Amino acid sequence: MDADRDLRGGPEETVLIIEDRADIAARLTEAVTSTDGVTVAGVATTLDQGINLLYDLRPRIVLVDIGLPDGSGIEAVKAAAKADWTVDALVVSIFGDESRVFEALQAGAKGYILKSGALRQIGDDILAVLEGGSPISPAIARHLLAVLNTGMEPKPEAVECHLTDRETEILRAVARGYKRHEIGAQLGISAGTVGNHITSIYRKLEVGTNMEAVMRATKIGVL
Amino acid sequence: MSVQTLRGGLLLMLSVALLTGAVYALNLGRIVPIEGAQMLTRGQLCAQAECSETRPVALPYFSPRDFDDGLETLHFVFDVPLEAAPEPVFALYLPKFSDNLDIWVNGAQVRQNSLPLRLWNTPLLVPVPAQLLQAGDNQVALTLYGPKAEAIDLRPLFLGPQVVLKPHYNARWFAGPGLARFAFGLMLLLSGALLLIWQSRRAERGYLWLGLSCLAAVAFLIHYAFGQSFGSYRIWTITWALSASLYVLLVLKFITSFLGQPPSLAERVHFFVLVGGVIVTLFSPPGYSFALVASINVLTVFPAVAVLGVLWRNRAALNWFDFLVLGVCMAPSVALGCYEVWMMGFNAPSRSLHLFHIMPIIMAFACLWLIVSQLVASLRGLERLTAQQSDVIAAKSRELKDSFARLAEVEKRQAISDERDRIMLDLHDGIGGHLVSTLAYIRNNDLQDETLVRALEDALRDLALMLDSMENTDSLTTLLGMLRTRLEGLLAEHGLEFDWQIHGEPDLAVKGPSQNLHVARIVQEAITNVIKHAGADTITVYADEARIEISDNGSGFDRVARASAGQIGHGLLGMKRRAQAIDAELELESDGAGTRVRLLFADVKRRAAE
Repeated sequence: MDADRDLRGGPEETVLIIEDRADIAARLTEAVTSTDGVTVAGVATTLDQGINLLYDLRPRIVLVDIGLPDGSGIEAVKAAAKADWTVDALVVSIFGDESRVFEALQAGAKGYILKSGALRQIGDDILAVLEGGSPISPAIARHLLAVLNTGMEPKPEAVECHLTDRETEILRAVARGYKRHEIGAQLGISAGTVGNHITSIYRKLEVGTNMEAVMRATKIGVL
Repeated sequence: MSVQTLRGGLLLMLSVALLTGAVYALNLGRIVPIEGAQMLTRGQLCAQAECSETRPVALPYFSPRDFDDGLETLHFVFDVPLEAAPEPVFALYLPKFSDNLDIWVNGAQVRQNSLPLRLWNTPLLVPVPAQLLQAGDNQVALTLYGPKAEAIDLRPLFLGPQVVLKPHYNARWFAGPGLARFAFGLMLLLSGALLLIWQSRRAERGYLWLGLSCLAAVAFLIHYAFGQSFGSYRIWTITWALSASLYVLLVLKFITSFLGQPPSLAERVHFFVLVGGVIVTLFSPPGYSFALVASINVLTVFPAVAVLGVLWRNRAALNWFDFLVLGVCMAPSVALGCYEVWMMGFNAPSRSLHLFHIMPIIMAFACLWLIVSQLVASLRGLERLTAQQSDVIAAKSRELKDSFARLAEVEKRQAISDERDRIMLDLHDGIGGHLVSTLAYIRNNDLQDETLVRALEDALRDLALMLDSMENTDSLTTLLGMLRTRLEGLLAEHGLEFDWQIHGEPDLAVKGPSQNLHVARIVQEAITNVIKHAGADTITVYADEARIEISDNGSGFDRVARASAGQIGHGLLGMKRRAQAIDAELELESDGAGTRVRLLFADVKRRAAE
């Protein structure tokens, strides 16, 4: 891929898209293509094909739809998490209900993007992930707060991890629609640090949460 | 044995001695003259059967005890002067004698002895035919039989009309063998019942000991109630006399096992004394049997006091009333035992009425009280437990009901959520897909129709807003956040950026997804108006509990002129209508510094409250 070089002079990072709906796939492709520094390596329309392409193409980023005709996109996220090269999975879904979000984050997804959000933002999200951040939408932040926030009573025993005050603050700001740099300015820290906090929240969730219990609690209405 | 135990023991001994003294002082059953009858207290003791040689004796008379085996026989003659020949039926009443006798009146035998019955505890009323008695001197001759070892006992006797003597005889019979027979029957019944209970509750040894103690009481009560004896003199003496001692041992075992105490020292010592006593008595000459068993019964006073000691030491384990009942029953029982031991030990006791057979009745009452009290306590416990159980069941049932209700609620929510997901999917992939395809078609075919493109884009945005509002039902600020995320790109295309100032969750009069959608549409409309018309570079979105404000730094607009032109008038009307729908107030200001759209919640609420 020597021909493809971004403006900064480095090689372009590759993106694999696993999405069964052609129009969405087209919009995702368009969004990725129009972003400097990244390029679409391939598009898969089934889980099976997606996982095969994942190993064949060894992309840096994989965009996964959750609802695939032959299975859950979570499987692809797990495959990416186990890969022997650096690959970050981002889940793209029309729905942002808690249980799915947590399932994805627990499987190791670096971010969760709602299709009803602006898909053209996806390029920015991918760049954020490449820089070590974790993209997060206000709705997802709100879900995270609902589950992890210490202010909620009764606190589900399933959630063992606790957010620091700073993390809670950041999530609350994200849920209200603030951007990283704005949050950073409010708190007197850099946008990158804000991103690190969000990544840290994701990782906490990954290790400290009993997924089934969260789903149960979510359905029962405790959360 | 500690000093404390010793002191306690001595105190108890003293109390028992005082009680025994009280029983002695009562002098129950003392023999006093009866009005209308002659009391015979002076007579002649004959040297032989023919009574040729006599010597005067005063009653009560006790023959000296010795350690000879065999039967003592004594002959007494009483001269009874009568003023006139008796008209009513006369009788001889002997309140106490031992152990059996023959009676002659004026040479005619009115009673033949009933040996081997030993009537030591039984009074006798012997009718005397009227024709046997005469005015002037009459002679009553008695021949008494009794074991040499226990001596012969003759108390004052009475001659008089039978109707006069009968009530006295009856009273004494009741107090003696009458009560003893009652006790005998009671003990027999109780032992059967208690041993039967023990059969079904082997672990509770208390029932066994109490049942066996009742059996032991049965053995000595035969002696008190019927004067019957079984086996040789020695065997029977050991049996009846030592069964009283055995009784004490068994009661001690009962009380320790009932109170959950380990066997006491007194219990072990007494057991060995008893067994040793039986063996020694068995292998000693029969003449010594009575003296030996009487000595063992004297020693039995100590374990009997130990029963009281065990009770006193464990008073904390009993409720006060049970302790009181037991104490009130057991202390006199021990006193009665001591009284009996005293009567047994003295050759010539100054009291004539034995009371020991009353002891098992009192003890039975005490022990039954204890068992019934325990039963009542355990029934209460059971009731409490049952009540607790039913409370638990009620609580669990409530929980179950709640969780069923919750489950039903969860299922309902799940159904709603599934349906919502389906509708969202349809909207997104169906309508959304068509809109996107149409836009793509217009762009790909280079159709220059900005109005159509804008309409399609508006429709797409509106669809996204609807989807967002369905997803974020509980937070308006998150919905605004999502709105920002979607509009950010559009703003960037028009060289605009947000000044985002969300400080709090707006406090709507009525909260809900459709109210949120109304607000979001108002905000979106205001923002798109700025994009389309204002010529600004910053859109400030401010929100707190009381209001939401969208302002820009554009050139403002002549509201009247624009409205008449109908360009944004339609949009404004829609915003007002939506504000009304959610009980909010919409304010619009426009001047050279820009345009401000305000949505006010708190004022409206306050006014409504007033």
